[in-house]
Amino acid sequence: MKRFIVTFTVVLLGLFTLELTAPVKAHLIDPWTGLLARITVWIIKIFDSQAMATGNVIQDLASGFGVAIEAGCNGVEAVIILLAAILAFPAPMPYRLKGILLGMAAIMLLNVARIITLFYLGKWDMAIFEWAHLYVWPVLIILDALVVFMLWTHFAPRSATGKVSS
Amino acid sequence: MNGQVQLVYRMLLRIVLWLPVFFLLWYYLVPVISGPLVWFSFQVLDFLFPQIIDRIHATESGLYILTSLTEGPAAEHQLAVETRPMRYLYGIPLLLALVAATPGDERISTGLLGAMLIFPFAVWGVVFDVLKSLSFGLSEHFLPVAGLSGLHLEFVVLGYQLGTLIFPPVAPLILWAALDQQFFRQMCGFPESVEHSDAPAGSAKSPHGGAPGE
Repeated sequence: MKRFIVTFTVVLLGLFTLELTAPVKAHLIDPWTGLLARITVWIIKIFDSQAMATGNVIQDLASGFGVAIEAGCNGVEAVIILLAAILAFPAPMPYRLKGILLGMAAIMLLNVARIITLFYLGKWDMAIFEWAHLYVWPVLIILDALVVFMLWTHFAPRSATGKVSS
Repeated sequence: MNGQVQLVYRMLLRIVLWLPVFFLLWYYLVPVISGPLVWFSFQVLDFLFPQIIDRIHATESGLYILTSLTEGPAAEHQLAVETRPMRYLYGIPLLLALVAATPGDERISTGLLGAMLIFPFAVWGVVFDVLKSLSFGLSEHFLPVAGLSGLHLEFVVLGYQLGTLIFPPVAPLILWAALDQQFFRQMCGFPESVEHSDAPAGSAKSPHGGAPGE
């Protein structure tokens, strides 16, 4: 457990610091955030033709209301937290990779739901939008990461003695 | 369905049922609990940079820093920080929901202890929020007096991002894992707990933690 905590902390801080560097932001985070905005708008357009994406901004053409997907809203931090936990847990590397890919998908799926709900909440009521944006959704996203991690650890390959093989 | 997987889903259900209860409680207690947060943050800032910040005042709309750095009318001494103390304390309802959803004794004392342990992380958030505002909002006044430059500013930015994006969601999970370590190990099937357990992974003891409506 101590090894898990130390590895988790080191990997978390390392990856988070890396995320903040200019090259990673320019070549990975910003393009990803733009792609996320376009995916979200593509889904919104299925039932609402008034939405459009410009860079990291999703805008309603009718009302002019828009939401910008900023750091903390693109799901990258939750992925980093999950990644640090998976890398810190003793498991074979191919199983870790599966966990990372499935975990990323689970977080991103919920994050798209977050952006869509925030987009409509913002058009409806800014006070509720603020609440959902700042407090409720961050809790739900981190719970998603926690559940993915717990489920992943349960399916981790074990030896005959019940020990997780790494 | 695998018994352990059911255990995780039941745990999630209990957390989700408890969350609205603690969010509501937290909302009404925020004016009370943000007082100590602002006080502790001020003490840390005053220790690090004596006589630069006169007072930090929290209102519903945000934090206001009263500083002697600038001269002029009283209003110019005020620097408004566009943040709410709540932003650094939303881990409290999450932590309380995790603790309440966990089976075991002393849930109230564990929850209260956990909520208090969130404060250092929240103080970190407010301190770096204020430092970021002073460093970039009043840079010409603050940086020479505080003796900050180059690498210090990078550290201020990193500390602010950590305090805003990482600590609020991660601190409750870490504190819950530490306070309810045995249950956390069981839930995650850590090697040590599996090794010492006679029961197969699928027959772990069911949690008894209650939830509203359960």
